[in-house]
Amino acid sequence: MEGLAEGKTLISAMAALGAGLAIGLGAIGAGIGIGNATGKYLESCARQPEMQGKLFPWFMLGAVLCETTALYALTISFLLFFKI
Amino acid sequence: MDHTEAVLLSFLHFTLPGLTHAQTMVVEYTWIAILLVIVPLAFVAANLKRVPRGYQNVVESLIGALEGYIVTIVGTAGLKYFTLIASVFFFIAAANYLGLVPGCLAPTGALTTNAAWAIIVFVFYNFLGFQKHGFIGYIKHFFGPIWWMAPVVFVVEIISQFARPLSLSFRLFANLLAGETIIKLLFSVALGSFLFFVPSFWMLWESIITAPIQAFVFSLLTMVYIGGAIGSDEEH
Repeated sequence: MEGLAEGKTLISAMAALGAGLAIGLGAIGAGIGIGNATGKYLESCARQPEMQGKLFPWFMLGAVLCETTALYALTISFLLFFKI
Repeated sequence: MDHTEAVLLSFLHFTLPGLTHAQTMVVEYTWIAILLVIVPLAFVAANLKRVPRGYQNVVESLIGALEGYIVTIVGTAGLKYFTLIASVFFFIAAANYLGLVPGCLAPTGALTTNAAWAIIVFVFYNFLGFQKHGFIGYIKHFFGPIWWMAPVVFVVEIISQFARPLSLSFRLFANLLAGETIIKLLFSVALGSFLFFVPSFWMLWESIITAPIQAFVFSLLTMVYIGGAIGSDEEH
């Protein structure tokens, strides 16, 4: 590969590309999920403020489970990043 | 990960037998985090007053909130396991905050610490499940309610059971790693400019908020798993 810098192979290039794609695409789902969860939580709290304390841990749980997918993507992204 | 930034204890030139220097540092900072939990809380417990004042108020509100969440998620039966859940919360919060002190490292930034906590939680809730329902009764939950779906459900359930400690430990680890990396990255990118401290401090501020949230999340999932193990009679 004459177009690449010294010591860099096609694998490094693909790893860099994959790292970016992994976290970029992985964050989309988590963003949508946490956004939905927060929106619905705020909506229901506005309707029934007395339920806020009961709903908060479940909202937190949902947000966290959504976030986990992004964190898996981040882990993969770091793994690929260290391959460059 | 390299732990070369953790300079506060580097004058202690000793390594524990069987560990590398980086691993020894993690163990040392784990001890500091344990002290950070025990000393303030023992101080409060030794000087309990009927009318709380100042610092005792903070601790009492934290513990009251935790108890409230346990009652919401597990029910009053979960209050027996308050010790484990509160230990998880306070240790991880202390460890996460320790990582924000310059010259210290977060013990939770090492996958081994998180894996140890996750395995403790995993063994504990499965033990509770076996204790509550008996061996056959607890295993039966893994097969689902429909008999002809049982083989498929069993495989899925077993995989999801073993994914729990994995996801518990990786969640915390990835959060800490991401926070650390982004602080370092912003700092190194912006070092040339006179505003170099702004992005770094912004991220530090965000880490100050997310540190107790991560601890809360870990203890929340502990509550959910315990609730699932001891209360699965009512759910099915």
